[in-house]
Amino acid sequence: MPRAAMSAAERVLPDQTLIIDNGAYTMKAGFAVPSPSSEDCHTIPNCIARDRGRRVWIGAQLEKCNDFGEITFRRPVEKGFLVNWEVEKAIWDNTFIDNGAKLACDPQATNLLLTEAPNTPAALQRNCDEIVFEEYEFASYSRFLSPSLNAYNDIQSLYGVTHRDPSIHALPAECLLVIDSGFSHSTVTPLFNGRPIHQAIRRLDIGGKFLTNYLKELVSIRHYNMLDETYLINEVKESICYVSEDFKRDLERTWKGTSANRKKSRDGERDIVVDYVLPDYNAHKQGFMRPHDPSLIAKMRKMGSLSGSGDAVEDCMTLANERFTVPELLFSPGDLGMKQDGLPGTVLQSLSGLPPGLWPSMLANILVVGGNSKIEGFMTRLETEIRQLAPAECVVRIARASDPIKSPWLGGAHLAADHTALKAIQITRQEYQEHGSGWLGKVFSGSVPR
Amino acid sequence: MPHVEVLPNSTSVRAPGYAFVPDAGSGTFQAPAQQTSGKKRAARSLGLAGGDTTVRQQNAVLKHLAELDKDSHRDVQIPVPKDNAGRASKKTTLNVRRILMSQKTFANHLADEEAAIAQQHTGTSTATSRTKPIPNLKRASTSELQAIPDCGALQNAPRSVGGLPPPATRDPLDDDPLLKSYVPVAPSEEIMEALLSAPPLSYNAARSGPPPTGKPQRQFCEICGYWGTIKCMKCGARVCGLECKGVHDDGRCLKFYA
Repeated sequence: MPRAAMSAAERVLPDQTLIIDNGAYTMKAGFAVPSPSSEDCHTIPNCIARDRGRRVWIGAQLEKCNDFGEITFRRPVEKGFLVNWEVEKAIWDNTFIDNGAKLACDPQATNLLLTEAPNTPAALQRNCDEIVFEEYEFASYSRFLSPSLNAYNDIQSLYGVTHRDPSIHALPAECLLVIDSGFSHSTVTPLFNGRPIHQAIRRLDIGGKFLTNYLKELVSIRHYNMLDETYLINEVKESICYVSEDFKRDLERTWKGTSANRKKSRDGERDIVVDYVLPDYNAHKQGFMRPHDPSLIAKMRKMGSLSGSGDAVEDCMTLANERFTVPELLFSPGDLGMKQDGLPGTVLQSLSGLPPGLWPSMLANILVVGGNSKIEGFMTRLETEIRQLAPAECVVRIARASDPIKSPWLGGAHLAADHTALKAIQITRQEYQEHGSGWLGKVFSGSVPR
Repeated sequence: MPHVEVLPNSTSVRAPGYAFVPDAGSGTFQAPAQQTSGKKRAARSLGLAGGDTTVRQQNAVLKHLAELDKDSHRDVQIPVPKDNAGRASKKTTLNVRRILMSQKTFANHLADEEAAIAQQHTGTSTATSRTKPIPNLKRASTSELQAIPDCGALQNAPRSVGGLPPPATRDPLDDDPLLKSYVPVAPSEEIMEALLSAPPLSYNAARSGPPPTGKPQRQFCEICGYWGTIKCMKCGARVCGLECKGVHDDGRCLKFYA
């Protein structure tokens, strides 16, 4: 029995809009403002954690924690998809509902813009829709793929192009290829007018979590056992890792040499080998990195043995080829035996799912977001390799978003700033109660018009 | 053993927690039955570039990758703290209660999705006419899109194409048929609409595939990380030289106890 759907003009929406970019590592959330900026977006760790003293921290409470030794995390978002709503509800309540919460709001008077990862199983999408409308009772809601919100940012200025005609409405970007390299995985999503082309979305199952675990394993074999210290190794990874332009040359430079000429340091080694001084959580000292200095290590060790264990003596480890072999996994996952192509190859596989007429415009508008893009040398290496693989006639322009972590949120905020556009997109709670969750799933996947 | 077959019927049974999935032993590689004689010949001819030949080695690699994908090293259970803020208790609906109490992991949901696709596939194949190919399992090839002649289509080159120089600086040789670059025409509106309204792929179909050239896998020393050119005779692990081989034999060799 056909039911008349409420048209866009008849919807009445409240003024306040909450935008949540749900990621596996952090949740980026904030209220929409007319001219959004990075300060309006709050980055909240999307996890609950238990530290050595068996105290449990939820979400944003982690900022107050001082002792990160052997801290264990429980993440509701697994492999990029929200599976565990029990934990996520606790985090959302703590962030949005509780008194004195960071972003306290009344859901019944707020619109919600939520993101999800591409290729989510339909059951998980349905669960999400039901929780939003039946548990929290938001006034209206719409669910997007997180790469597609990037199209609402000002992309052309990243390539150095100033707008020729300010009257042309620039949003959303017409053709955009988004490479999102985050915590759980890396996806390549082609967008056309802000809408994703589903058949061409490809995913590489390597993300920040994989790199951190690999570094943990290497360090545990070669230096100290750090298999329980995820937070610490994450910090180490963020401070020392870089992507080398020439992997073979760097590996030769860090070779320790045969036992005969071990003492001789190779040329160029001094740039790569570093010492990482481990933090001391009891004395509230942060960990830091410094260039390799064997004499300093010997001096510290002597001081430690003389003074017993009273004085605070630093623990440090010397890291050489771990610095660049860990991020190298993003470019050749075959090093570990994974039967997938690296990130540039994944881009080409995504393009092969598109008609060739779109290739020039997609290759000329590549945007990189996600935490892994902040690794030093990542962008230059990615550009070099994509340029090598792409057809010679196409121009390749690639840029990292000005804030790779908050970029989808900023795009969503730009979208939400326009109230009429918002009315066309959001689905109100009344419509959900009339039509049900099956209809809602079809609307968000595009088969039924809103 | 009697032949058991699940018949697809019209009513969808919401059996709690059940999903019939073709058995592959999760995360393992099942080799075909006939691989008895080829292993040694392949390993000898390919040398170091052979990679993993045996099923055991491939399973070890898969186990290693699964371990690298875990959230935490130990299996810790952190209970969600009971919220005692004293909020007014709302009535939770049946759906919400079911979702909050379900302990399904992502692997369960993935298996459910695969089972649903497989059931849908067998369901339509038993029907006499297959009206529409199911796009979820395989990626639709774009060959049919390329076949549509586009000579009459408008040259709707998208605004954001970079690189075409303004007419004043163009070289007269640019139009020479040997030097001209052939930019493919942009697809028409109908093709774009068809592309945009195509349904999303399943989780496994969206995974990127192996590299095209199939270069041999780079091996590294498991002690120090340099190139792994030497293989341990007993266990097959890679090392780079004599010193690392000594360390491996002293502690890490799997065949330590002969």
